[in-house]
Amino acid sequence: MTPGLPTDLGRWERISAILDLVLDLSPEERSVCLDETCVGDAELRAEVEALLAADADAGAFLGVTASELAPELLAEAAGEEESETTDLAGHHVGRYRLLREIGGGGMGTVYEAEDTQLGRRVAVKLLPPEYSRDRRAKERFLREARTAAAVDHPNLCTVHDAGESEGRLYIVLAFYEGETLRDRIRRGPLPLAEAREVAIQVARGLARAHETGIVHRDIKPANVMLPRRGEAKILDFGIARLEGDEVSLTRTGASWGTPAYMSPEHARGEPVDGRTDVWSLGVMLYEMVAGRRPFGGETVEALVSSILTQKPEPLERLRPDVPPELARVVDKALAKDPAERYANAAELLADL
Amino acid sequence: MDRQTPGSTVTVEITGLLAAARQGDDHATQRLITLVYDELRAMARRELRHWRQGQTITTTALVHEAYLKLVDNGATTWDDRSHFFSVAALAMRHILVDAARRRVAKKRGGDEVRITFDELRLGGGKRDAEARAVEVLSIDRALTSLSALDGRLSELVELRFFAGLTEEETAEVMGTSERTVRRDWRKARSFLFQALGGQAAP
Repeated sequence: MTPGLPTDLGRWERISAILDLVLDLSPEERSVCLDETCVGDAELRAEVEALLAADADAGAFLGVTASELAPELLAEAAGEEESETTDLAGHHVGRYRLLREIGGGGMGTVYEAEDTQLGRRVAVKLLPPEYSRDRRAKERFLREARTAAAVDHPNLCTVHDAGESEGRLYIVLAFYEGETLRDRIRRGPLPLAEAREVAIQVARGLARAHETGIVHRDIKPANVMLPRRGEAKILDFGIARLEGDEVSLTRTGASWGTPAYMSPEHARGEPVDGRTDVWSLGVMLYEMVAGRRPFGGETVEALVSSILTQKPEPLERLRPDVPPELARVVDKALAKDPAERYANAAELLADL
Repeated sequence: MDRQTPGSTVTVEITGLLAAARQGDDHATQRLITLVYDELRAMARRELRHWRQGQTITTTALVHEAYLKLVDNGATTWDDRSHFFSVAALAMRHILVDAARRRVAKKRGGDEVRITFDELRLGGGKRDAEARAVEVLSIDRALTSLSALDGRLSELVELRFFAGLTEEETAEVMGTSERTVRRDWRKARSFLFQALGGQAAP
């Protein structure tokens, strides 16, 4: 039971003074100091300890300023109405004519479009307007687009172009006909050979990306395209960050990976590297084979707690025909401690 | 530069109001807040043009620009400077909270959603503009409870979180050491975190 916050002025002054004394002490010193200052008043001590726990537990809370937390609020306050999610089909973005909306999400809207110069079909992803307003976010986006465009691999979605048009950042990607892995899993578990093949292809793409220093951070079935022809493609390096650019992730407050596929270290807000993608691939492989996810929960808290602490139900129990080698790969990819996981996608690939 | 010439109407009025506020005139302080609120919004509106050209704008920049434009005329006292930043931080809080309230009202028909404890701590979960607006509103509410107990801590949060001042600037405005600012920040943050966590039941 967490005691309530003090509401009485005199009470707060006492608590505040005790906090001044103990905040910088080690846990042992704190305990001694609290024994002395709170003698005979267990309630006072509980209140102080609750605040000390909050201090220890606050993590990234208030780690950014209000305008970094919610950049759009200033613009709105200035009287600019947020452009509502209007269908932009028929509009031009640079030399691309938008044909129809084919996907959307927090990170932008994707349109099927026509490259009017080359006459080919492409996918154009438009980022929310607030991205254009932040110079650093914009530079980062364009830098990432350049990095992604420089990587040519059969399992990575091809990046054709990127730019800004009428205050909106956009990225132009290859257009694939087919379905996403998410759609595929919805129809039921995959045959083992197919699941393994998809995992191999995704791992190949990731291995190439990791080699270039790109961590995807948001590997999930909705970001894996299964084209009608050709191999699986990893989509949306939209929130991918260059390695070593940790600050941006915690400071933009813009987007976080889908919790269900989020690695324990990512959930704890710790720095992540390629091993976070290895984890997500492990979750995906589990789901392809078992038809359900290894970690779940009714709420975000429950899900995150399951990711941090629970051991998933063994694959063999859910699907007896799973070869032990495959189950071992999933186990190793889902090691809570990144140090016990595959060091990168290439290692996982070798075991597959 | 669209810095107003010294001696313009607003500058003169603000100089007078700062002096009156320093004497403890509450009406002057109220008028000052309103004036700075409007000025900051007007400046933000002007800055929007630049946003499209790729410049960045933050509350930090706005507050400092407002200071240069409205107050800094060479004859400013340290007291005036401190007081101005306190007022600007409070105005900035109102501006952002009003915008957040409008956004949430528009989307939810007035129904506020609560963000979960983990979303706060991890800065994660669903982070769309609406969730961010809700977070700003929750912080504002918790800050109001804090201000009833400890006005200095709540002013500190306004300066650091809403106005985006650095530790050094905050220490200067509050007339304390940076070390005190850091320690008070932890106290304020713990209070707010607990206040928000306490209502996080899903």
